[in-house]
Amino acid sequence: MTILSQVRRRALLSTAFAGLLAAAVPASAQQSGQRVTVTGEISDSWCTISGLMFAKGTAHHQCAVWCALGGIPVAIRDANGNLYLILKIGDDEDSAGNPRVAKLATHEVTVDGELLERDGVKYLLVDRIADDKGVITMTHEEHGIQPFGN
Amino acid sequence: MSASVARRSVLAGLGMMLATRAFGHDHKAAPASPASPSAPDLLATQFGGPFALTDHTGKRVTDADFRSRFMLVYFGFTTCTDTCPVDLPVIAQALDALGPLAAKVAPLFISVDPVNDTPALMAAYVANFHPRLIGLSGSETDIAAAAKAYRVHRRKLTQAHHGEGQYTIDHGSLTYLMGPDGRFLTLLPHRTSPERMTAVLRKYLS
Repeated sequence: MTILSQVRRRALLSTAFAGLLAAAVPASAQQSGQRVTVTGEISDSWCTISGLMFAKGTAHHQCAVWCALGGIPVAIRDANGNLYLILKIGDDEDSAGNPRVAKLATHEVTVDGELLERDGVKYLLVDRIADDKGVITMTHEEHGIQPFGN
Repeated sequence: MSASVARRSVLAGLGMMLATRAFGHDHKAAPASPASPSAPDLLATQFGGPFALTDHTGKRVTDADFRSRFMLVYFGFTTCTDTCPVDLPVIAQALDALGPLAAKVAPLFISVDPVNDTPALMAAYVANFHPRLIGLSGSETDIAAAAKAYRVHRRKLTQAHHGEGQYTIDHGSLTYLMGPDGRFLTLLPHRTSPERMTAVLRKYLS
């Protein structure tokens, strides 16, 4: 990994992490959800938060699928680095370890749903996927295919 | 310490600093009563559920044994070299900072490595971090059920530097706060600072 890629990686992680830990919202927003439309990349919350891997684009696709199938909450990371934990998509109440959700890994999507926030963490109940551009962020040539290990 | 582990430690440290800064503006967080009588708490059932495990003294316990106390739940394993050694001291510092309020909390460390993490190993491990930390392990079936309930990912893998028989386990690192009724209250992400964790816990415990 080049120094430049490490710097980019850290910058990405910093942004994503700061987004997840954004300032607390008013109590009213914590009680009932607010309607939102969110655009961003589907990923797993674990790699984005932990910083163990470069959690973006094709370099992270395989890992995102594995994590999603493993049961870790899937998330959407928007362009500002905000991270939204997805608790359900459509009628599919069980987003954990769900192959249907795993198939969306690394896709750039726009979703409509209900946003709940608590203690700075954003939770999203997705009603519908309004747009799915597929995998459009190509990062594997610079960062390789992750994760490490076998 | 391998370069990989060293890199992770540095990143974890940087993240902790970032978290501290991020929360610097957040200490006057609005009281987060998770569910008012008039509004159903949509998050309450999203994480957690029944479990039956073996504690570090060898005693079988269930989630019902911790009713009337808040459960602070973290998943990890005793040979973890990166996330657990970062997060468990944070939990320990928060418990200490809470003072008498900490008596309301049952801090639980649930193993994701049931084959290796015997009660004896768990006892020695949790004692390194905090005297009140409770280590829980069990059969593969027991652990799989608990991990599924909390949506915890775990995957055993080997890396280039591992010798024969060595491995690591990729695992989720969220810390869950469950209420005295066993229902989910909030989660604290990896790299939450001790000050932030203390503030969040105090808000619910007070």
